Amino acid sequence: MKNRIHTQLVVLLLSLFATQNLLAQRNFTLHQHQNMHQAIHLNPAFRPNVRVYVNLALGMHSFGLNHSGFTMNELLYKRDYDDSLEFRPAEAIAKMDQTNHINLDFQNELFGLGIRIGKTHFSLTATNRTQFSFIYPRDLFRFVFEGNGGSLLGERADLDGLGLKFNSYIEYALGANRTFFDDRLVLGARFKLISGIANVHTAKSQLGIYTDPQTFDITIDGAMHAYSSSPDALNTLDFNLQNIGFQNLLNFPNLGMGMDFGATFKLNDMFDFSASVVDLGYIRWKSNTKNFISNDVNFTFEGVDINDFMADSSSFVNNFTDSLTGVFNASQNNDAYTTSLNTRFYFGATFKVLPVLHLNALWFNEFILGHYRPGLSLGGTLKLGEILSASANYSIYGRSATNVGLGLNLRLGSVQFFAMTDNVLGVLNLSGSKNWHANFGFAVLIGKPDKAPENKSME
Amino acid sequence: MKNAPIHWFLWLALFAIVSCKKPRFDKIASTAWNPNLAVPLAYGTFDVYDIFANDNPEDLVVIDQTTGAVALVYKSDLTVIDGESVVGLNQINENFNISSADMNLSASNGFSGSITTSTQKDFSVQGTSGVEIHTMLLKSGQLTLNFSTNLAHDVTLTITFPGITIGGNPMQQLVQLNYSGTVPHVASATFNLSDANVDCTVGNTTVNTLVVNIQTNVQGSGQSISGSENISVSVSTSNMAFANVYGYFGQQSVLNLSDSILFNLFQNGTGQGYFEFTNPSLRLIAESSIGLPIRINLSNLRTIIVSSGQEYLLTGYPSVFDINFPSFMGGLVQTLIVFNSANTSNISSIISPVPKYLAFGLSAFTNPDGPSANLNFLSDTSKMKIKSELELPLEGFAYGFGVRDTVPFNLTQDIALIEYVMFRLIMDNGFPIELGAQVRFMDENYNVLFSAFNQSTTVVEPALVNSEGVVSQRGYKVTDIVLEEDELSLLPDVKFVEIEGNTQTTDGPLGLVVKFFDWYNLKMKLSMQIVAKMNF
Repeated sequence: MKNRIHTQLVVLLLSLFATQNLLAQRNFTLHQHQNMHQAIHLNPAFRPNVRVYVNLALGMHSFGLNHSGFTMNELLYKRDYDDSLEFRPAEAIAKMDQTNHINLDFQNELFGLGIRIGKTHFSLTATNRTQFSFIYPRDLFRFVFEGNGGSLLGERADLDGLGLKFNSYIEYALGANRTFFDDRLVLGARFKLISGIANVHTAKSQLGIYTDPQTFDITIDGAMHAYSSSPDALNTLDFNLQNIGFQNLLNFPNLGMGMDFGATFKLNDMFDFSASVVDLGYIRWKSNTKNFISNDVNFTFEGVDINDFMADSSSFVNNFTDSLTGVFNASQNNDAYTTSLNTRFYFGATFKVLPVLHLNALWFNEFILGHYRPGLSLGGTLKLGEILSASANYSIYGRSATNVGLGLNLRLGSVQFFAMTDNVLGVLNLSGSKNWHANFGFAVLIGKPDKAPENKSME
Repeated sequence: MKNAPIHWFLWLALFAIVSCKKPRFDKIASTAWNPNLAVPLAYGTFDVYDIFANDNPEDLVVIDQTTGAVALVYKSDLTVIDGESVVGLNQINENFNISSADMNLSASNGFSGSITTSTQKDFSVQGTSGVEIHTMLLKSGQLTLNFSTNLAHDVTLTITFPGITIGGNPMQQLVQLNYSGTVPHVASATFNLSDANVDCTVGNTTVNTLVVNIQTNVQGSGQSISGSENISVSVSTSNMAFANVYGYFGQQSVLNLSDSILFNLFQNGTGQGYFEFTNPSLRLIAESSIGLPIRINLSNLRTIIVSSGQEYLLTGYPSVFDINFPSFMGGLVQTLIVFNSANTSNISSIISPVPKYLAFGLSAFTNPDGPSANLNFLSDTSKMKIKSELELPLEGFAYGFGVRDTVPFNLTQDIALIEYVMFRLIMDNGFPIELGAQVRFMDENYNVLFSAFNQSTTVVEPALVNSEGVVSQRGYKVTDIVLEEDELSLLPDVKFVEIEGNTQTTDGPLGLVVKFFDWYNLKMKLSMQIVAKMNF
């Protein structure tokens, strides 16, 4: 009967995660399952409680989507007197921060191998990473929906930071961690060799539109530096396998390197602490680069110069176009450039209330295009023997305080299956959520679970 | 039972998908998007040239280089008197005979000798209107002499015009009349008069007269002479025209006309209002290369309001003027005639009632004092031109001066997407002029559908002036013309737009004199704010 309940619960979570709307990237829930091999992606000091772990393409698939600006319900308001939806961009704008993000993250562990030898655990993984971030300022929506003659009149429409970052790469990571001081301290690190596939990002994006409240003169200021490196397929629109970029898996046309560092510390039988920094590194993009560097623009449009128009109306349009071309001028080059990885920091604490119940706290930090994005998660993990561990958490991140995560890790003999989400509300209330996340995988585990540390702590 | 997990999986997956609160985009009710756009449309800076001389390039804004003071000068070419209209040349057409007696021939049954004699004949060269021609240089013409005689003998004629010289030599030609058994027998002589100097004074003894000397040599053929034979001579010219001429051209009326000068400044005037230039002047400039005294008589000088026909006469002005003339052929001299406050009684006030034309009568007479010691002269290119310049120093005051214009209007664009339009006119005015305006939108029957303002509204605030009448502070005015949904819905019916402007100088009704300088300008800015109404 117990197994039946477990099975049904697993299937329930699986079906929830199977809906493609569940996406996320921070993996707060996975962080609570520190004894899973997959958790080394969050902290290289985490130690799987298995001697050998093998993943052949299904080990971990993590998808995440976060929109920090507004929810669909805030844009489409449900009227009280009927069930129709009313388009209310003003409401959505009011909910926005000055700078808002749409983040999409895919992480697929294509290959994974973990071996514990003595006090040292070694890991080797190959992971496909795809990250897309679109950053838009609130004033972009204000400009589009309100126009420049409403609340923006006399105010600079601040479109600074409008930009995107798209990263696609394969990382090959070799990691190790080792226990110290009677297994109370674990230090770990992973070295990553990275092969970049494609990148587009705006290194500098400044844009302001100011409308004079009296004359309505429109002043545009700004500058844009955009860099790209793409497979031949994007340049030639010839999507054969060779052009798509699979050759980049191994020949490293865009070489990068990265490091993860982590540590865990068992304070006593009640409290554990962890800290990690992951994705500390860079990629040097050299392949098919196209870079656009605009000059600094400060241009005021005052309308048609009647004097010029009357003097020579025939060439007025050409002259005006020429002057605009001179103002909004951009140079192009094919220089190689370097981007940093999206570095993240995790600081965690675990309070072992009972041997089967742990309470977790996690502070998450991330920097994307110079924007700091924190997150905080409080949760609990239930360990039901060596077969099942389940977790739940409440998180605040992405300018959303309505995130409830659920996770389940099931070990059936030599087969491991897990499914997790950082926000199950995202699927139950799709239009009312800002965060969607799913993380699941299958793997082969060889060897019995290592119970010794758990027994020690319980004793 | 082994398949139970699979069944659970399918059931729960279906439950999860169905129970998800997904956005129902088909439930989105019709809603509106009302972006508010504010854009600048046009701007410009207009100086005195743009404002006062834009309509007609012939009008000239005159700047005093020392003070920068501005004056408007309306120029007009009034009339031209050509030299050929003063002196015309009639073609010569005369006949005379050379009798046997003139040729010293007496009756004879048979004449075989040779007798040579000379005969001098005068004929007249007449100009039009009784002008006295003394000398002239011909630029074209042909002189033809035809001879016919009934003498049954050969005759040799030597024709000489002592008063017509070409290259300093008198014009001369031999003509042979050969008898061949029948009479009369004829001959002719043709002279090209181009570049011929013609002296019609016969040695300063007369005028309008040419002399021809004909030497006859009769060679006897043995035939008889009755004594009544003669030689018939006809003299004629064709295309004879002078390059220049000297003489006395008489007292002729060479001009008698009425003319007017258009004041563009008042072209669209409503005929209302009052303005006064403190020191206007009308200049008539006569340029003459005609070498004779001409006296002009200016009459009935007045201003006319075209709309009402009301006329205002200039009084107290001198009406007769003698035009200076050159002292030598090819010379050009000017005569300046000025009417201003000093030599008229009311020139300031007759300009004031917003006239459109300055009208006058003009006549001209030559040699008003009769002959003089100096000869008149002129050439075929001689002219006397009279030009007028009405100079209005921009110094004075005005009020109640109105302009009105109606322009067709036809809206073809779809304005259903527009909820609100506001045109903003910003006038930064450096001129001491105030402009009030009203814009009326009318249907095809000129019924006013709506107006831009409830009443005429000041759109150009006047600049303030100091005690010298010089601008000391610019005027600034922002005017919004708002068209809301009610007005916008009527726009398709609008077929005409009437624009009415009322202007005055700064404190014009109080008689405050303002002055205009070349550094004044008007900065105009037109912007638009529009609220769209897009339903979807």
